[in-house]
Amino acid sequence: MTMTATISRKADFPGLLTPDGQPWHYLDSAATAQKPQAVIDAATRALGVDYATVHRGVYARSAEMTLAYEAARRRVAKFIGGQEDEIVFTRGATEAINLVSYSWGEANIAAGDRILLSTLEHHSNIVPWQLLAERKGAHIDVCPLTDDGRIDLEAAREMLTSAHKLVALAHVSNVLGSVLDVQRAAELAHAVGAKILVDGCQAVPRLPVDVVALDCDFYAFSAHKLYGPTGVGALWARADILAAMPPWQGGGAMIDKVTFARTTYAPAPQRFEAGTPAIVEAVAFGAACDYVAEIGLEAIHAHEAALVAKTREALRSMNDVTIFGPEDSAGIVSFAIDGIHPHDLGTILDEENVAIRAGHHCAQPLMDHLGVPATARASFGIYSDEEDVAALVRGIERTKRIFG
Amino acid sequence: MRSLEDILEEYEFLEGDERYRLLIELGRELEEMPQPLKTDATLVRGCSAQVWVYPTEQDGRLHFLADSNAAITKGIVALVISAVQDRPASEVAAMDVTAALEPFELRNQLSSNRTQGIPNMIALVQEHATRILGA
Ligand SMILES: Cc1ncc(COP(=O)(O)O)c(C=O)c1O
Repeated sequence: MTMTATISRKADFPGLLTPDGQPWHYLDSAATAQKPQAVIDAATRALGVDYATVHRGVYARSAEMTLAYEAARRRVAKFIGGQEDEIVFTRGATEAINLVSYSWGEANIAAGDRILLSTLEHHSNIVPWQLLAERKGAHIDVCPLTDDGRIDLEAAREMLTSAHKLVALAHVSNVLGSVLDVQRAAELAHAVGAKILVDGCQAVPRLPVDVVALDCDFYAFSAHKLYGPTGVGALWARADILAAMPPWQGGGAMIDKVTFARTTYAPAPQRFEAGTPAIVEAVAFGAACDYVAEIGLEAIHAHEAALVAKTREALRSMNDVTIFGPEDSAGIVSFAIDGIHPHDLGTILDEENVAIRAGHHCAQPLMDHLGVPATARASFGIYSDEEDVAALVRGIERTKRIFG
Repeated sequence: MRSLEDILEEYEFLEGDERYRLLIELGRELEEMPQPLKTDATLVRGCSAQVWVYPTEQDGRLHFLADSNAAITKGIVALVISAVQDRPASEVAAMDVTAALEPFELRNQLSSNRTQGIPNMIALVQEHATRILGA
């Protein structure tokens, strides 16, 4: 089967040009996605003519903004198949995971309990659990990967015991692009009475996600990888779990009634949104969901799959390149070239107006597993096309000539 | 070791790929840093390319051993070293190393502390010189 990339949305993205008007081959969407004009416009309106605080003002502008903010919550919930009262706006995926580790973790993890992670997790889905385990005297287990770089769920099944209270795994690896069978992972977690948190950062921009069908308990993601702004993200948690979670950060907006004798808290999700929220960012996050949903995740997935296939094919034809991760990686290709450090490759590609990521990608345990200090990573988005892949290949060839 | 002025003279003559080749060659010619010296203690903070520096001193002059696992980065390490090698601490402490490297047009390589070890390496070299002076 030959696949071709089909979406042509470059014109929607003002960020895809260099200062002198040349095409910028941006292949670092897994780090953060460029923003479509629709999102920029939504943010500009929210920051300009529509701007006011939420949940407080008696004046019409604030009431309007509150409606817009809550509409964004509904929009984000619908985007992943959840309910609006199950979405907590956070600073991003990192804060969403920390929220679970502090709030749910404090109430539900005790000495001797176990948490199952995997080798390929982003530091954001490792360190909060290490901190929790240290506070509580709990233990962390690490599920290994299959040879082609997937989380080995057969191994997970053998590792899980009734001492496990939580399984926390990435839906899509930010380094390898490997896609987790979340349904199966949830089934395994639930079979031992554990909850499952899914780090959906790399999945929401590239796969249709339905948290109910996936049967997970927590789902965390950031807006900025989904063509939305930085500074906002979401935690989705099943309503009954969220309702039972104690507050984490205290402040305004999260309370019911405050007296020095006793303070009572607002119901979820407000209980977890202390302080004035990222109003503008949340509204633009909603606009990003609209933009992406309008194109459709099935189409985006097929588009990125075609670019991944093309890139892997080109890299495979170079005999000194190692490609990491499975054939069906979602939107992400990590690789290494013999004798050329990814950093040097990235430096020369930059001169060719090709932006890739070189580094450990905040996944040092995975780098140790792969036996490399760093990889080069090309990652795609809605706006990526075959010219970007061609520019990457040209840049690699030039680098090889320089090093040859 | 060639002086920075001498290297610059050649560098300015070259274009694109040839400049990179020269940097890679300078990196290769760098005095070898013995493997046991490459430890966490000598590692310069930086995310994607690793840089190690080990300062020594002889007759009041500073002598640095340095390395990187990325070849172009190592070439830039060599530029830094040629600017400061075997000079008195007072001279190194007072030197504007970043300015000395400016004519090489490596702005992208020198700008980011997070991904690049080089700015941290320059800072480290100069802190060392200052510390020697103070001692
Ligand atoms: C898989 C994965 N998890 C978590 C994160 C952290 O996201 P953020 O930095 O937006 O909180 C990232 C992005 O860097 C990621 O790729």
